[in-house]
Amino acid sequence: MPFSEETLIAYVDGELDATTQAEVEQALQTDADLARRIGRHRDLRARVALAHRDVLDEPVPAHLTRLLDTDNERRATPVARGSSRASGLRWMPTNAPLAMAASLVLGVMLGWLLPMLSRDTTAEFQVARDGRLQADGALAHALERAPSTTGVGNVRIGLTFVAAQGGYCRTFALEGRNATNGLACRDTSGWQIEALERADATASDEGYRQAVTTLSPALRTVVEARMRGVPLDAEQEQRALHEGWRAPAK
Amino acid sequence: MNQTLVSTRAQIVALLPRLRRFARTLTRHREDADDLVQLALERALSRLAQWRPDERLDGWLFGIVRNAWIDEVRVRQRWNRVLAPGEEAADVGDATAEGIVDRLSIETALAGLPEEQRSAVALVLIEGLSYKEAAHVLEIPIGTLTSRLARAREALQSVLSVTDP
Repeated sequence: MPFSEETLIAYVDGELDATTQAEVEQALQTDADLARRIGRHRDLRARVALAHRDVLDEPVPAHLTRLLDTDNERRATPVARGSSRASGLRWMPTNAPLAMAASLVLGVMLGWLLPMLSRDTTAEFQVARDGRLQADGALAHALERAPSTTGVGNVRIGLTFVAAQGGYCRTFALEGRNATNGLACRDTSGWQIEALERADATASDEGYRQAVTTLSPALRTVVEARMRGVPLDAEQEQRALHEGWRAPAK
Repeated sequence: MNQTLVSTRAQIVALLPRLRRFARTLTRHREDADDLVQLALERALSRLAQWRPDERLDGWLFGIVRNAWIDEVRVRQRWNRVLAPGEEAADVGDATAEGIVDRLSIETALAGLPEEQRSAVALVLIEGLSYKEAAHVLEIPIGTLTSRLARAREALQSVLSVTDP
């Protein structure tokens, strides 16, 4: 069967309906000329896809990040450094350090997130096809497999809870130069990042590390707003983990 | 604090590298590209409430970038100072020697395409949108999009000398 150039292009672009696609693939088995024509379109697509690829690895200019920062500051809830929290989360171990990293700000954190996304920690996040930010790499692995208060590599898992609208959520911390805290919730496609905040760099300067079970006021607000009941205990969590984080019954 | 808004902003942050790449393909110029992204971000932020979660955020933003670029081109034409294609090539950064040659030629080839074909190629071949999504961004019928893509491919094939063996 002869195929038009347009059909072959659509094949390479993954845009053919199932029937036509099957016909092309069937013909490909025996038609060397067809394979050559498709290869030509595929090769072009692969080469064009590399255009300006370097931009993705460049740090984003500060004036672009500031543009969004300004908006963000209005909602930020800076915390006086070293001040003690009146009360921790109720499941927080009583010996958890009250002195949490100061000035944790929830949300976009452009100045910090951008360089992070463009460099060493890029592997921990990916932008899903629908445009949402999703856990990837070691972070995704830890969220999926690690029990609370343990970790994998530079990822520590905080607590696990059931969201009010169903599904499991876990808090996490990424340790290292771009120390980060966040909240991820599981859906059928993976762990979606619901909140991210920077752990103040001064925390490590002062020689203490933020305990993963301690949450900044901002992140705590998010968690409390989403949580149904109380966090899972170790046994409930183990069960959820073994069941592949299937959404619990409402 | 509006968590939906915060979350959307976090997603925009993650998309910024791709917005910059898209803008660079459109403008063919490093500084112009970032100016364009800035303009588009300002517009996007002022219209954030208009974005519907059932629409792809990247597509929505690409549309804003592209419309901002069309506006800019109109202004430039009025002032008669549209850069000639390839007049100012963007830096290509670190790469292997072969990679530079290949990408330079691809970027030069892209720069030579008419704007409407370049946008279509950028969205589908570089940013990976589906035909349907790209047509939505460009506000054109799918048939128009596929014919632009076909013509663009033809031109690119000849410029890049992707010759038949």
